[in-house]
Amino acid sequence: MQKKDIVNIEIDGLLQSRKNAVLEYTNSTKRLIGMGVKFGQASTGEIEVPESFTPYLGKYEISEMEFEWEVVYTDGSVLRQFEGEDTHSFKDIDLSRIKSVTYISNFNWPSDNRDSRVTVRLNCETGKFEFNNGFIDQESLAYINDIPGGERKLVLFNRKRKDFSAVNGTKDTPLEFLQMIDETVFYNRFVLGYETPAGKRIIIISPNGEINLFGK
Amino acid sequence: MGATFGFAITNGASSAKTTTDLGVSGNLFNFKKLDDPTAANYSANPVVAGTRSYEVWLRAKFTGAFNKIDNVQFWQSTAFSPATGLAVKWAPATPSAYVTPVSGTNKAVSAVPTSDPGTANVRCRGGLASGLVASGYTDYVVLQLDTTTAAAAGDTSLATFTINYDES
Repeated sequence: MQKKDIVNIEIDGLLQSRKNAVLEYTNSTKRLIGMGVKFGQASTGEIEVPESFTPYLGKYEISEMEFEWEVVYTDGSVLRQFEGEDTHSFKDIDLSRIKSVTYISNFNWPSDNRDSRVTVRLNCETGKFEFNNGFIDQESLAYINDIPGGERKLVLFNRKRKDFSAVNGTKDTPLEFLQMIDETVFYNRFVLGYETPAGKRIIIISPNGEINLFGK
Repeated sequence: MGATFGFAITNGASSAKTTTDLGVSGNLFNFKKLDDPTAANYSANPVVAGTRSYEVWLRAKFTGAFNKIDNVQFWQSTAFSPATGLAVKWAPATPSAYVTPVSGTNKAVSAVPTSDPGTANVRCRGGLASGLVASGYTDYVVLQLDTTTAAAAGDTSLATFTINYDES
């Protein structure tokens, strides 16, 4: 039996480890993107905007947020988060005269519907939610359509996640192979609903268009 | 315009502290044997295995228009790999008063959370439920790297920390 070349065996093993790591990196990245997680460049903070955003240029501003809000007041006037050069914050909303609040996606949902954005609207006068595209399971849908009585208090906020990194050296050694980690992670969720003395109906919208009950 | 978020680091003696904006993402700081806001000089100030780094006093800074920032949660989302002999400690009380950073054991006495705590664990204006209602900082997130002699020489991998908050 021939004696095996130890160095070649070691090289084989290391190449396999490297290949496995790249495969794991690729698969986990794919899953994260599917969940709506966005990656940006850590050194610049820039996020690449997917092609699917482009149909909405003009009406809905491009931002790092996957959903933007739109408020309709009882007199029919509309306040949008992004209106031309103007950007509005939650602070600009006049809560005393809201008729409806809508979250509108900046991406397309795979759908044959005329409007392929995901829209989630809360009619603040009736407590009814309306959906166009996106995914919400039937159980959750039934729950939020069981509208509790009493005066409704609007719940509207964004939940944001930011990641940052730290490294340590226990000896003066240059950092050579971590350039692939020059990335930053963004994950935003969008909360909409209301509370009454009799209960609350609040949903949380994931950046991939999945809709769940908040807190469950 | 909604809230603008970034991290800030505070350094120096408490009587003459300086606060530096770090930005929002990437390699914002490094654990090292020096109390300053520069990330790049870590290799000239290495943490010797078996000792602690200087404490890192971070705060989240929010500016712009918002009703409230609250439910601020902080955790270490990915560990050093390998993490042998490396432990990140933090001060769970998230103090509102700054104290001169040290490289001994001081404020950072507990293991930093390594998963989403589920509820707020970073105080604002002294309370977990207080939140911010105008531009300002959260209370301090004090981090420190605690090593044992088992820590390998050379750079560690990057550890990732995450902050999660609600903006209304």
